[in-house]
Amino acid sequence: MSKINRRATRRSLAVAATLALALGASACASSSSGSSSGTSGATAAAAGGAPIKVAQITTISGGYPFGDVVPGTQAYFKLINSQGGIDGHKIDFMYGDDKGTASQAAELARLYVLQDHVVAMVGNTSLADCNTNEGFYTANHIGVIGGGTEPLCFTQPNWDPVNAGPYYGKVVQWQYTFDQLKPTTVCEIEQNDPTSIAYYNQLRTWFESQNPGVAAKFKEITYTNDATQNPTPAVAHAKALGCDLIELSTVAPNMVAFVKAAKAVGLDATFITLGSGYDTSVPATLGSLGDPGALGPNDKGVFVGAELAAVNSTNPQVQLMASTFKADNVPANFWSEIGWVSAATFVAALKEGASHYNITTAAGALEALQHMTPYDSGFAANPLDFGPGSSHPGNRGSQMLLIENGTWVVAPGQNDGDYDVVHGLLPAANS
Amino acid sequence: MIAEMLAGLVPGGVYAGLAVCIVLMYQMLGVVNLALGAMGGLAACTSLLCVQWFGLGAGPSALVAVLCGALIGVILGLLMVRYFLEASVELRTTVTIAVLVGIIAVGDRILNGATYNFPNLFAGPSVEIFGTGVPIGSLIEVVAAVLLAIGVQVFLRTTYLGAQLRAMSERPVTAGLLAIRVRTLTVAVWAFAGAIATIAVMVVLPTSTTSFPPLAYLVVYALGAALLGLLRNMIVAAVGGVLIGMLQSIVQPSSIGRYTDAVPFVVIVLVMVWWRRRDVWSEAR
Repeated sequence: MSKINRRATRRSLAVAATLALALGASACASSSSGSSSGTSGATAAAAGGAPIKVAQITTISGGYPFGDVVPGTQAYFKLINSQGGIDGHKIDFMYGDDKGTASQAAELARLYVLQDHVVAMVGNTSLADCNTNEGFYTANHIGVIGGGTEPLCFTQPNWDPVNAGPYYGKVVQWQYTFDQLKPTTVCEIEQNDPTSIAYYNQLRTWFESQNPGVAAKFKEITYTNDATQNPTPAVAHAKALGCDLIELSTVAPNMVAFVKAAKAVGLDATFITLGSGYDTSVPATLGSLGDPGALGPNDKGVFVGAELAAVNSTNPQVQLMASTFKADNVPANFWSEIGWVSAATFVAALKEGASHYNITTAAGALEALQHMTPYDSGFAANPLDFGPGSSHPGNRGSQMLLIENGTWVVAPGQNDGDYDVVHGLLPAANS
Repeated sequence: MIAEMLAGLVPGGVYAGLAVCIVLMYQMLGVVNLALGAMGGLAACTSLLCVQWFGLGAGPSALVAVLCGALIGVILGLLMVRYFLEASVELRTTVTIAVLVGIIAVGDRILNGATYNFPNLFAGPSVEIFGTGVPIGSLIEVVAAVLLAIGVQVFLRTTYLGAQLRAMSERPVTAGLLAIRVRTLTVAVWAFAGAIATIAVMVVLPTSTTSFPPLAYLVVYALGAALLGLLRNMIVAAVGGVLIGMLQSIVQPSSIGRYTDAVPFVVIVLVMVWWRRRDVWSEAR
């Protein structure tokens, strides 16, 4: 072989090696975030009754950090398996990352249901699952308990969210804003999410009709792609409009970025965000910037409508989760709570139904879910109930939290004890 | 409008810094480095680790990060001179795509959705301009990017080393035969670009979202700015970066704000059409 050919071959090999290395690293990252259907060692089936196989489809990569749902779910199943499982059946849990794409969500659902023969989906928190797999779950008698993100998560027979969701959460946010915080001008900074924008607008119109005088205070809605865009222009715009309260619908890292950007441009306002912004690390990350008044006299604090109870709640069930998370090194935030509460609700239903139904089959597990007694999880404004209906508006409240002295505390003035709840049902989404 | 324009200095400063590096690397090394933002982002993450693990202050952490950025540049530069010194621009650019994917995979593991307190490289009060606060770091970054562009262009045109670098970019083998230290200079340019990219990203990190892919993809917007300078003129690239940042900031709160991410693509398309206008219009005629 000539020197030139050898060099060319060597170069080709180098390119191939570089690409292989990069793709390999990429694949490693994907599987770590759950794209492969890895069985958790902590929850693997052991001797005894046949294992109950369950799976989870979650959006882990792609800018939306729902990934902590996985360790939250794993922690609860590990706890239950250590206590002998459900009626002698240990839980075999697997999960996958749909990357927020419909094709991946559809592929994972079929993999788990048709190939792995799971009996239910537990903890699903995805931007694509509800919209993609509705018909598939119904046809295959698969019950789903998870974190609802889109309108369809709340309006299909086999899908039961444990969280209030962005829609009940949004209405609670508005209720608390106008009842307690009483701003003069509100700027909303919303996600550029085409699947939710129409329903948000419909809800806002409905809320304004229910609450005279509110419409005049909504100054502006700015749509951002939080995951990719710098927050500074949006807060600078809010400052130019004279807004003294900013409503966000975003996740914790982005909420922190918005507050820091507000400080940088000199925006003096209160911040309030949906439950997706709840993370125990936020107060420490914001430091003194999280305290009321840090941005100016209009700043009444940084609020979040936690759809599940604060981790420092004195409720024994919440404390069990907190201590288990600490022992298992699981981050405590909205997402890991969804995983834990979804798993707890599923286990409660199957324990109750074990004597009536074959809970090792999808149909039996679904029947157990549909006939469960409403479960007081200790995390929600009201008991969670899967039920036989065509929709499951179970959790209708949020616990408003406020940063004080470096930690989240329950905010004063909520309309139902430690929770602010929506009385009645929201209007159905116009198709 | 003015407030939004000024807010655009924050992303605009980053785009400007990265755009200057893109043009520099293209002119000197014949590579469009699509991994530049990822290099800077990965190195910037080390500042976070310095704070969390070793309790270092903002200054030392930033210094470590910049050195890491240079080190990443050295490693990639060595890889390029070892295997791709005589490769085509297309092949070298393709290699940077592989590097980009690899670094994103690593960066995603470091920034995994939690909240982070990145050290602020230029901590200090914002400067009030027309009633809007502009972070001092962003102002410094914008000015520094333009000065860097001017400085590098003057350096390349007026110094002996600059002449060597230009010779190297045109004919690396011939330059080597003329005893120009091609490999050393190539690695040095990669290291320089890595350090500058790190500084650029670090300035914006304290007030930006903290997931890794957006940091890596900052290069896309910077590429639009680099194209404004036709991958030749660093000063135009730097100014273009600032303008793209401002344009995005104006568009974002408007009724077409949902399409903010498309701004650089529109700029790229318009520039490409303008660039090739004679060919296209001549053929049409």
